[in-house]
Amino acid sequence: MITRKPSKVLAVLALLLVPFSWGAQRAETFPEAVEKAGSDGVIAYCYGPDWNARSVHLLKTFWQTPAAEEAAGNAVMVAVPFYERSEAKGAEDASRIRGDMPDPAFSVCPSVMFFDKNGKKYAEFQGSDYLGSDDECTEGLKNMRMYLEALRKQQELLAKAEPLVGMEKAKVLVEVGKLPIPTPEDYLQQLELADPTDKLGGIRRKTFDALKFMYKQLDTPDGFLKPDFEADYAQMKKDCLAIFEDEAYSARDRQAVLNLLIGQSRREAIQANQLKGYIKKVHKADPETDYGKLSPTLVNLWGNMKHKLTPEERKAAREAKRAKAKEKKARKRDERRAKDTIEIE
Amino acid sequence: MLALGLAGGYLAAPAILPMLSQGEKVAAKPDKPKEQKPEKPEEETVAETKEDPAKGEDFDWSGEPDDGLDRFADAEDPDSFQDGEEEAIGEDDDVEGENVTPEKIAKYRRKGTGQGEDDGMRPVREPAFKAKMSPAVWKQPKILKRRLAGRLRSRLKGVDQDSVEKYLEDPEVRLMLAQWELLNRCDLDVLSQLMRDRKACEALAPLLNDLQWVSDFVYDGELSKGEVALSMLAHFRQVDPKMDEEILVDGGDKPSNVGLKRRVAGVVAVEFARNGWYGEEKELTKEELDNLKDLGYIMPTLPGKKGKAKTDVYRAARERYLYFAESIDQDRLNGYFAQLPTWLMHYCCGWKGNSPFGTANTMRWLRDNCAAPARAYTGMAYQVPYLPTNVYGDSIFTQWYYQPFDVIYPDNFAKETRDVGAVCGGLSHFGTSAACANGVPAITMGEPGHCAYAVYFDGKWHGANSLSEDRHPHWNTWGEYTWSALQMQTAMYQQGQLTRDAQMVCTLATMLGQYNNPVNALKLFELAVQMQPLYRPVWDFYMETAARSLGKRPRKWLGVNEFVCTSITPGHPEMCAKFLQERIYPAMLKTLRSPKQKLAAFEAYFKNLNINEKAQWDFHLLLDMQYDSLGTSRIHKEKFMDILVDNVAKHPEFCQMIAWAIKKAHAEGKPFSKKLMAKIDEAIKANPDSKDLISCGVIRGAEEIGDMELANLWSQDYLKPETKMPEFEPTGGNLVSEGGLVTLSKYNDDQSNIILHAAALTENGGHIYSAFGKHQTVTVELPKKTRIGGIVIVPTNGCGSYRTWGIEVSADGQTWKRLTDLPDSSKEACMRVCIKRSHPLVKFIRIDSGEDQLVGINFKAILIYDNKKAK
Repeated sequence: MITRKPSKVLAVLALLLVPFSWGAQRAETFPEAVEKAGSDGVIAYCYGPDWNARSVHLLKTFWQTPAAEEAAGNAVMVAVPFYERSEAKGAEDASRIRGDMPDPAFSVCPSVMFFDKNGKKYAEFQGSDYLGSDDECTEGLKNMRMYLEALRKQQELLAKAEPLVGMEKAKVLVEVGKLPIPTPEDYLQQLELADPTDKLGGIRRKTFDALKFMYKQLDTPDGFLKPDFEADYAQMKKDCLAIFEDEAYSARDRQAVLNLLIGQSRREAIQANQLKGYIKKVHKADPETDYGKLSPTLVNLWGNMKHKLTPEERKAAREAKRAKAKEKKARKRDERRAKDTIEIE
Repeated sequence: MLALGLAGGYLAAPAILPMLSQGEKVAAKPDKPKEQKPEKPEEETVAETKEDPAKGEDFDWSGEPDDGLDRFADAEDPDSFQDGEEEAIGEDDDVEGENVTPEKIAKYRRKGTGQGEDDGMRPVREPAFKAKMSPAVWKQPKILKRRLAGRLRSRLKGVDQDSVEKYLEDPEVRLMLAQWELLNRCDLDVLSQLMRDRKACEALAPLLNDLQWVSDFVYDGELSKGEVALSMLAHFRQVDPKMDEEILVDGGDKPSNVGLKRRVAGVVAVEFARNGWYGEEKELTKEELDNLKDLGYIMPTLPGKKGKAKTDVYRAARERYLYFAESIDQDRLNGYFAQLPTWLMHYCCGWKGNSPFGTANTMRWLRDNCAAPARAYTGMAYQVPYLPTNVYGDSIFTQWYYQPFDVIYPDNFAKETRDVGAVCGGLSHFGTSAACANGVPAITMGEPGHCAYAVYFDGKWHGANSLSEDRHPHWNTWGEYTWSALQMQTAMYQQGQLTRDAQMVCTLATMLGQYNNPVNALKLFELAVQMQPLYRPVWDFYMETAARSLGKRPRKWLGVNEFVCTSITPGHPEMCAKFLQERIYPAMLKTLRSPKQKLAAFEAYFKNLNINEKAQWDFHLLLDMQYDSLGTSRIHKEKFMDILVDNVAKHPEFCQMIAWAIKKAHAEGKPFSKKLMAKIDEAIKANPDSKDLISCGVIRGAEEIGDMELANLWSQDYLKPETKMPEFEPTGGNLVSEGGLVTLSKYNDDQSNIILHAAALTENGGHIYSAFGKHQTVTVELPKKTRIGGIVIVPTNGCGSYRTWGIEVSADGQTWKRLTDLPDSSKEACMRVCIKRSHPLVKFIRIDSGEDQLVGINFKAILIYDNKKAK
């Protein structure tokens, strides 16, 4: 009996809160949803009536439930069918329902797509990885809340930044950049005005491309390593650590950069302890990312590698490599300087 | 349905192939079936069975009196109908190749398809038929096979078209034919062992009495190890006792899965048995063994497994079947799947059982995360980022690329690929497995230096992630692994009923061949070939049987040649060319003494070219074979060229053949070339629309023989194309490349740009476009030796990266000297090379893409200037 009391209280409270805790509306078509949309925008559920029975099933068990309405907050909810065959029953009405809504990525259904109040897409997730494999799509509800929360937070921060100037404004804008949804179109311009020297690192964070960085370090424009490529390990270490230590960059970017150093260190056969140290740093930066989760595996895989070279031999080999690489790099640099005009003496 | 297929079909056609004379002896027997020796007479079998009734191999045909084995009495004399029939058949010497016209063939084919066009999406429906055979009879498959043969022969009243039509109308006959074909494709000793297992026998009996199912099982793929496939099936039925259960999904009023799982089971068994994808062969502990037995696992003794410890040999097949069974039960597959005919299911359900992309877990993930409409699978590959180097800086060509990630993606290679990255192979395998896992047929293909894939929807295969039309599927459900073979096979199966009938006639012919009746066997093979000329295996049987009987009878050979050309060439020129080269010409050309006859035979091929596709195969082999067979007779060679040019002018997509003709004529000497050019002019006048493509053929031929004059002559009308050239500053000096000759190391499939090669050496700009691959080169031969002062290269799509590319020069075309590398990365619209001193005296300039990059040359212009002061 005693144990039931709190649950009863909670149930009553929950019932009382029901009318006030969410106010998701439903619309019949996407254009209508955009028209009705308030600050929480529109959330669209894409399904394939004539080809994907699972997405039709989830329409009932997930999308049309109070739980989904609760997760959708004040957003306008709309279910949009994507037909495979134009002659299928109901297909004639599909283009009216869809309006100018874009396709889900790779046309995959079921998909949940998020639009702001102007009808601009800001997030999307699809498949059982993000919706969950249960009929209620527990994972999907969680993700809906997460993206909606991010939109609200972004709006709140942008409103807060509006009257501010200089570093005060920059501080708020940097926070906007950390949210898991795209920033507004003029975000970089605003940031450059507020923090022209990028003291807070918001611009670096926004414009950094880990893949480009890696390709530059590996001296490959297209990702294919040159057969005779030899990295300048010292320079790479310096560049990678400089970025990793700079917390302005996102955790994942920092991890990606250090991963490159880990890979190169393995190829250079540096001491196992040092390699392990880098791997642990990656884990520490954010244990929740895929790279963070990978760290224990890497320690087992690479952290105890036996090295054939003695430290002296290694040092000598490294220096020789370095000298060779430098020489080659200088040669290449000279060649590149010639750009489009090559002068042959 | 059957009546439509037959009465309205092949019976309406004239007898096209030359028939054999009455009583003609044919030594060759159709020998594809495993048992080639003539079987014992039926009497012996019956006697043997009667002596041992305890064996229980009696038939229980429903709807017939239960007279036990006596009903086979009428089948005792296998040749009971033969004499009369052979008289009726007689020799059909009047039927010659000349009688066959494309119109006749077209009419024949149209009628043959019954309803006209079949979209290939509806499964062939066999008529309802519920004959039942006691499971026990399968315990002695050798006896059963003989009895089926006896029974089938007893019902066959003749091998003429009318008799065969009536014969095939009987569903019981159709079932027996399919069953006999199944037995013919099994190792009967192994099958006997399997069927002595009571569970296996009971599990298989319902399937083996299902006419639709057995027909699909034996005819819709290449059933090469029947006993292994049946053993797998018995296992599937035991691990999934609900295989035939009908499920109503989401309150629907009609079950959508009727017969679907048993079809899938058949397909998986055929493909996994054929390809040897049995799973791990490991020794099992007693516990593991008991667990498997609890699952109803059957342990047949497979060939090569005798005396060995029992192993879980069917793990991979079982997983694949259970994956699809589970997906059907949960209605998780694309709605397209339930409508697929069985032959198309082979591509989804039989896809790469030995690939990490083909494991059940991977497919489950793909099904739940990559569900898209069928047509969207052509873009699904691009979910995977194209990353030749992973985040640790390890190349995809090393073991390190995926190794660190293997632990966090256990048994899910598709997800690992999507998250880590891949190059063309990984992308295409991802796209293919995503489609197959969702029940949409797809297949990976090799292209020169690249991996692509194709997806089947809207009645045809659509290339995806593809760079070239030079495609080779990595596998196929039977036959050759070529794009043309896939197309022909698809066209064949799309004519569902007609194809099935032809396959059954082929079975009947094989059976008669095995029972010492080669004459009627040959007639039936001919009939099957006439019904479905696209069914390659029946041609193989036919040619093996017919080759000796056709012997040295030129008119008959010409008839066969004509039939092959009229029935296969129009839609499948490559397959026809190969067939002629491999099966017809070697025998026919020895027989034809007169060059006139040969020319008539060759013309049959050219005049039937009727497809708007480029020649993308090695057609030179066919042309060389034809041309060389004419010996030294110049008149006939000229006549051959006339035939070739006349027909290519009507179908200029085959303009590469003109290039071949130019090369051959060049080897014959100037007068020959002159006549050929006159003929080409004449052909263009007759077909003015073909001018551009024919010019491409001529220019390509001229480039390949190094005839600068000829190439420039034919390029004159194309020197001012509408190419937009960027503004650029010449390097100084006079333009010396104009009037030169371009040659490519490998020409692109798209021939149409060749006419713009000459313009690309002028400041107007043109187009030079090579095939995609490594080490591509473009060579410019200058009109005369010149000291060069500069080179300007205008790429079609901006400069980008030209790492590893270089320019080489030569004075004689033999000795080359590296002049310079091209800039690694430039944002300019063109690349300029200025030579300040030591101007080399050259005649040839070559641009080389280098070894390690997969590229295609794609330039608007290559301009070469001398070192003199510009005029």
